[in-house]
Amino acid sequence: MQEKQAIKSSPLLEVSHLAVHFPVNGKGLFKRQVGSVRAVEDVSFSISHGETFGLVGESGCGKTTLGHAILQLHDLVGGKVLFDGQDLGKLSKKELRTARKDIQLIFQDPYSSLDQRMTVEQIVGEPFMIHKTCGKKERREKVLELLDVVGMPSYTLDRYASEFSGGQRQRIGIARALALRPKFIICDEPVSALDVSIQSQVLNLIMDLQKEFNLTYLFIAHGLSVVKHVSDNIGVMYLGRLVEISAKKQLYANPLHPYTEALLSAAPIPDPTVERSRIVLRGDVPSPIKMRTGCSFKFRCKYAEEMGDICKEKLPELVEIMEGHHVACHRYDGQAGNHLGKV
Amino acid sequence: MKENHCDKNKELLKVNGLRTHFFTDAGEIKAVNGVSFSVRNGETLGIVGESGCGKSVTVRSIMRLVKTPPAKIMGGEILFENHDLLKISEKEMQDIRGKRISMIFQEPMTALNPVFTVGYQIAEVILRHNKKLSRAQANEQALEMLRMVEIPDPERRIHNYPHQFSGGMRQRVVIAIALACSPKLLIADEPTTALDVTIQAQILDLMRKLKEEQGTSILMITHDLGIVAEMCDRVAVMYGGEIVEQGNVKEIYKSPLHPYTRGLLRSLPRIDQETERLYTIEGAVPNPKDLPKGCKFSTRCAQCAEKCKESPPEYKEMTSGHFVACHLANEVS
Repeated sequence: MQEKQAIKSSPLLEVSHLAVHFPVNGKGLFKRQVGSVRAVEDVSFSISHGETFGLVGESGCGKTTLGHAILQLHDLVGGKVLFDGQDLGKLSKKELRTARKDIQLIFQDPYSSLDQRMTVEQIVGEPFMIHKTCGKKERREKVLELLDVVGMPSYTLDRYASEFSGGQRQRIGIARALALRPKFIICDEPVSALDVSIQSQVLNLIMDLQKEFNLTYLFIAHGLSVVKHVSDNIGVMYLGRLVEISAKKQLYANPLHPYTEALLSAAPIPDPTVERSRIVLRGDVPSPIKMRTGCSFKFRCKYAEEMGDICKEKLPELVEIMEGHHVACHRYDGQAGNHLGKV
Repeated sequence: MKENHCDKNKELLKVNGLRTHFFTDAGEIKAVNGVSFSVRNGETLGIVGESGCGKSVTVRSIMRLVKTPPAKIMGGEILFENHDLLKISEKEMQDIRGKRISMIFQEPMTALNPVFTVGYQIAEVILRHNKKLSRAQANEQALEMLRMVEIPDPERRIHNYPHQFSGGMRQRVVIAIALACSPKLLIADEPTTALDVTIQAQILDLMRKLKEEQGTSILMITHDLGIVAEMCDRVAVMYGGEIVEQGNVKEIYKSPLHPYTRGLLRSLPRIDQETERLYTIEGAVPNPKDLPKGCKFSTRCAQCAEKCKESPPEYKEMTSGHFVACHLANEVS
């Protein structure tokens, strides 16, 4: 038991100072690079075995790019990704392919992520073909087994993806992700495109599979209620940076970053008797192209004025304020490491 | 101009037994199958339901914006300020659209015309319904509208094109167009679904504020039960082209009578509560071409009895103002 605990707490994935930039090209003849979109900037976090790390943020904050960067689908500007002790950035193409067996993706849109012209057997069986792990007969058996795991009847084997509803397609997508028995799955908004009654079915399935196959998840979503339901730890992203990382309970009970606070208060609660004061953020998310000094949230932050110039001039670092609770905000300057003395 | 001075209980819009069917190669689809509800002066009525339940077709039928063919309004009446909108001519309807009833659409980019400035598009509505105004006066009013929906720097922004606005700002422009002629009824079809959470909060806040200022009634279509709880006075829950439950929001959230409403409320992950495991409504929405004979929800209902499969339940009033269509409503509650 003790041993198991130790394995559980060691990180399966460690991301440190990850940065992804996309070039912005000018309009001239040579389309010279005139700037870059800083999609992901200096992101560090780790995920332990068997845990779910929730990643929340609004559209354009870089959460999907971060997920893809872990899989080395983008060229990194900086930082590294350690998976199971292996630096994924240093692997050759061939080695990376093998490593990716252990890391799979579940996509947001079940309509565009499945090929309409392929049957369910082909879709779910494709990973076996790519990695040449088994023969045709065995493959069919494995596909049937996978369909059973995700709750799809066996007669769907020869049907085409287009014949299914959104929820069923998402199940097919999950079966494909599970095919090679990965250790780690990146769930990129897996239920955002689904209806309420289907959403809960798929969420339950994802959580059941985690227990059954001892999976580790990076769960990306924009809905705080969904993330709360599935995650152990949560990271809040704003304009390419993680502004707060914390255990789930801590984060919802005591959000430290003003952006997290605003996000929580903006989420509608399906209970008409709940009365609460809402923090309505001013303005929109600023463009990630422009270079800025200081805190990226300063234009929308309700504390920016009282804090004075420091927010405009100095970028706040992500520091641990309480045990396991990290935040990047100048309001907590000087409180770093406080928790260490308290105990 | 005759105005019904905000008599709170007076019904502004009354829909009776509306039926809109689609005639396709694959057969007749009863998208809206006998829907009745009303919106009173100054109130917000929410219509919730999942995709394909007929909520959008219902409001498009009210605006007479369903494309014929393939759709056809087969029956029922839509009484707005005591006129049946299904009996008036298209020309009379054009005078009502945008002036007495206006609509906010889900996708603010496709609702705006990309080749005209936003100022022009707001002024267009004002001029259409106010022929005596000059273009300059209309522009002046358009500017006023942009101010009202809290677009920063409106004097400059009025000359911008939709692509120069962010999603939330575009939705503000759409709201400005909708409210330009101070309509009595505003129909909002998933007004915040395409927006981020923090922007959604801004838009909902704005809608609440404008509703109070102008006394506009709102008919709000959404799939989000959280939005209904925050915005609406009453709610109608739709399933398979029918309203299965209708009533006061507080009452329905506290004691839902229809198993579908109950299931929906229980299957939501909550930000303010811990849930070990989510409740699920088994199965999927039935194919609209091939709806069950009895109760439309019978194929997914955990309490389904023999009679549910055989005959459709009657839509009846259980307590004052609380309607439900379920055979078992008495026994369960």
